[in-house]
Amino acid sequence: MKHSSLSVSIFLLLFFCSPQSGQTETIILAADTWAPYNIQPNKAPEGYMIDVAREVFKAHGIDIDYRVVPWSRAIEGTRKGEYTGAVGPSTTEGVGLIFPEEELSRNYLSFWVKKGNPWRFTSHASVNDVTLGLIEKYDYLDWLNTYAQASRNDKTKVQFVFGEAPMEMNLRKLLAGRIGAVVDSEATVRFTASQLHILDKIELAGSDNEVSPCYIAFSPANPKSPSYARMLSDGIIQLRKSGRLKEILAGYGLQDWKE
Amino acid sequence: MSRCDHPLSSFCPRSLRWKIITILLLSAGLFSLASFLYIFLSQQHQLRNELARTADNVIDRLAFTMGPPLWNFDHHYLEQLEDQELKNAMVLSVLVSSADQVFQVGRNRPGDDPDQLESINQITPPPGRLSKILYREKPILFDSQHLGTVRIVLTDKPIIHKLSSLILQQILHTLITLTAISLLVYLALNQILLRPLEALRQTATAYSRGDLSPRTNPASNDEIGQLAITLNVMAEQQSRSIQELCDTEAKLHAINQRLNDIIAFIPDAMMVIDSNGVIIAWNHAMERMTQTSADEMLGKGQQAYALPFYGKRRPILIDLLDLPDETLQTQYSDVRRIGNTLSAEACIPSRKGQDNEYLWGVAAALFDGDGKRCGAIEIIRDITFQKLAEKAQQESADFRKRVFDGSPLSILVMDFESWQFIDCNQAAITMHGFSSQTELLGKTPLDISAQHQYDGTPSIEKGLKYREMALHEKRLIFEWQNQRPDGELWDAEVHLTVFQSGKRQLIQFIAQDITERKRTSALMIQTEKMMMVGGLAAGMAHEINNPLGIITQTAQIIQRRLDPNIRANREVAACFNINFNDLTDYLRERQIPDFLANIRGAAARAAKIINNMLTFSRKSESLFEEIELPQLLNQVLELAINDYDLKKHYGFQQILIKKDFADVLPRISVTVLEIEQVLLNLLKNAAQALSEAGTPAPEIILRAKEENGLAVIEIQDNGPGMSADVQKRIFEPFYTTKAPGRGTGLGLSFSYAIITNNHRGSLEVHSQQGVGTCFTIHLPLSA
Repeated sequence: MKHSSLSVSIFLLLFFCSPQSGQTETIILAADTWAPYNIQPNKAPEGYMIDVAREVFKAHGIDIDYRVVPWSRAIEGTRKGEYTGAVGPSTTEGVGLIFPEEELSRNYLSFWVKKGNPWRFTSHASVNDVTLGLIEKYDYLDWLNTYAQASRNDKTKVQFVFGEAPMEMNLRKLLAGRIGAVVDSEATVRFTASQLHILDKIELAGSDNEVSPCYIAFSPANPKSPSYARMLSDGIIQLRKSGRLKEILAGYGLQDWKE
Repeated sequence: MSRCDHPLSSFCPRSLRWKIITILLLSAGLFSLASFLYIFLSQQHQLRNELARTADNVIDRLAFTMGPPLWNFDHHYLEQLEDQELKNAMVLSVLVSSADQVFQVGRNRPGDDPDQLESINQITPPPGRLSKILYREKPILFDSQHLGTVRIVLTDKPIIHKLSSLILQQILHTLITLTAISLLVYLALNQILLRPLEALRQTATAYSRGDLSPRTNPASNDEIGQLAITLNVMAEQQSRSIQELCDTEAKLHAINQRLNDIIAFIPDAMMVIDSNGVIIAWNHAMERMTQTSADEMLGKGQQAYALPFYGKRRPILIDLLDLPDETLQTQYSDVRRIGNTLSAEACIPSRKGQDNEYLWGVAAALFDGDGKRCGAIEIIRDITFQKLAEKAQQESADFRKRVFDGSPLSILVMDFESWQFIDCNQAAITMHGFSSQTELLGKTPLDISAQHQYDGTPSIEKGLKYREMALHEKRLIFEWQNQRPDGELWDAEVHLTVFQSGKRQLIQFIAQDITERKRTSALMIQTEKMMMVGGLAAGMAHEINNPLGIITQTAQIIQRRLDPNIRANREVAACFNINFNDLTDYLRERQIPDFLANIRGAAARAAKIINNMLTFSRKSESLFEEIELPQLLNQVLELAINDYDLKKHYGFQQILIKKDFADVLPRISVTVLEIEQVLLNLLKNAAQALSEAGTPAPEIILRAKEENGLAVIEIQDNGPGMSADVQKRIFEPFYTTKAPGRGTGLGLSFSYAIITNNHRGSLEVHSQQGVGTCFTIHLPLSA
């Protein structure tokens, strides 16, 4: 028994003390859930931005640790270097972060109401007639950001939520009648409502024509962030070229935003 | 001696020290328990209020803080709030539900029942009272709008844990304090009480062992000291009492041993039970009788003593002692009570596979010195052999009685010395004319004998002669004429045997009544004699008839030759010159005619006798005819009444004639003239006897009846009777008791011949001197 115990001890000592030459590098990506871009971590589907990031960085021997946190915390944490990158910010939201050249989505603002609500988005001024459900720290278009800040204290105009699944919260509030319209990209609203089985209870009330690109932005506190940004841009180009990007998007019912 | 033999100085459960310590410890324990209860009750109320306050605070806080996240359906934040409250150990579960119950966020304390959230939503929470589980719920308002409800579940486990710790500390503190106090109290009691008591105990222990010599020194003048002095005095008195007791016990032991020996060796089987029916004595004889040892039976109850006898438990004689007399008489008639003692015989199934066994038992109640019932005793004796002997004896006696009394012969046993009968059978009583054995026993042979025997010897003389002969020959056979108390004589053939019975010499007489046999024999002799006479008469008649005819005829011729009226006689006389008249005168003078008449008369009489004698030798040639018996008898009586001779010579009219005819009489087939002659002859004889004897109130009874298929005719008179000799010869021809010339001695002979020869009947005579005579005729009935 002594001999056997000694052998095990020597094995464990050698195992833990040997040089980690083959150890994989891991980068931490954080965001709130924003389907279909990034959804639940470690549970398919994780969202196509995560799928693209995993394929790109895997080619470089880098593993992805995707974490869901409130959006404001994701942005602030990335800025401080707590996370390697944030998934889905626009350049407005991610001021100070290191952005790659290639975006991972081009979004239009869409307005959704509970089925039967006659309100429609016809102009910027039409939002005065409805209570908008927004997400704290989210970057909407400038005119809407301005309107939201101006109406922050008027719950009949705008109501903010924050957390790990803010779109789900806003959709529940929409169905509960606590807000009149939900604002986000059409893909996000449609995907989340489908997941909640309430797509048949809401309807699209209109969209803004202004485009808002979104990225995976990296922490300015991490010296490897520019390298990561390059790796990601090159990888996106490579995936588009190889047709792999199209396959990934098709899995979420989407099309390449540049086609 | 073991520790527990010293209850004062040891710690065994019986010791006083143990009891004191136990009392002290129990007091400490009870006090601790009371403290526990006091603390528990007081702290429980306080902690219950604390639990309620905590519940109220938690529910209020949650209801307040959960408004905004519930408004936003922010279940993450709601979970954080719930987790924050679950840090309180008393909070088990928190559940928040939207008003429409669609949105719910709940958390359980890790490790607790996962179903708690289900139960919190389903079970109506009891109104805030302490129990194992405490429920609270409160609506969540946001901007005065009811968004939903928060529910919490709290447990009292932390409180109970806290309370238990507190109580444990308090009990330990109390126990330590009280144990210290108990130790001090024990030391004080040991010095004041236990040590003096130990000294008393040692003294008392010595006393209990029988050693009364130790004495106790009173250490103080308190109660224990007084007790020591009293103990010393008691020891002195006890020493004297024990000595007296020892003496008495020795005597009682000797008596008891003697009594046990007596019981054990009593030859009869005996057992004793106590008042509960338990066997306390079972002696050797009982062991032998039942084949059951005393060790097996002693101490057993519930009628176990019946098992060896009957194979099962059941009441026996000893169990009947308390039954009232009425019950005893109705249900146990074989049981006899004398005083308080019962006795009975019982037949039990054989325990040896043979016939039944017979037991005799006697049972009696036992009482103590105060007269109180203390048990019962039963003695059992096997009387099977005695019973069987009695039975055999009875059978022997019955057999002897059947043989002895059933014998048709008279058996008489006589004591040789006293000459008195000492035993007899029924036939002897009947045969000798007695009505009972008592009448016959004590009599002597002379009392039952005729005065004279056949040869005329007095019976006493002949009896003494036979007695002397019996002494030498032991067995004799002879004929003896006896006489019954009514005077009737009867004949017996006697077998005399002399034998020894113990010291007594006895004579047995076995007698057979041979009267009839002798009579029949006599009749047979008579008949033979008559036949002989008949044959002789027939021969003589033929021989005598001829000369008698010549004599009669010649006498008649002489009379005719001497008759003067006949001319030839006169002519012949004239030839001889004889005057016939003179001749007649001469003959008359010389009575010659008378002589001739006598010759003829005698010849005629002789002829008649001869003619009658021929009756013996020939059957009646008369015709038989059937006739009613009463008719025949009445005809005879009429003839007798009209008979001149009877009327003239015997005064027949003075004799009372009685007819005693049976109601129904048969017809008989007879020669009427012959039967009439016989009956008339018998009536004439009776009348003659009555007349000659001068019998006062003479009477003749004429009886007629049917008996044994025969017609019976009896002619009975109350005349002088006949002697035995006369009776024996009365039917002999020419035998007569009448004066010469008055009878021929042939009347009864003829009658006998008519009845026996001609009619195949019988004629008997029964006579007793001084009483009368009875002739009996038996005739066959008509075919």
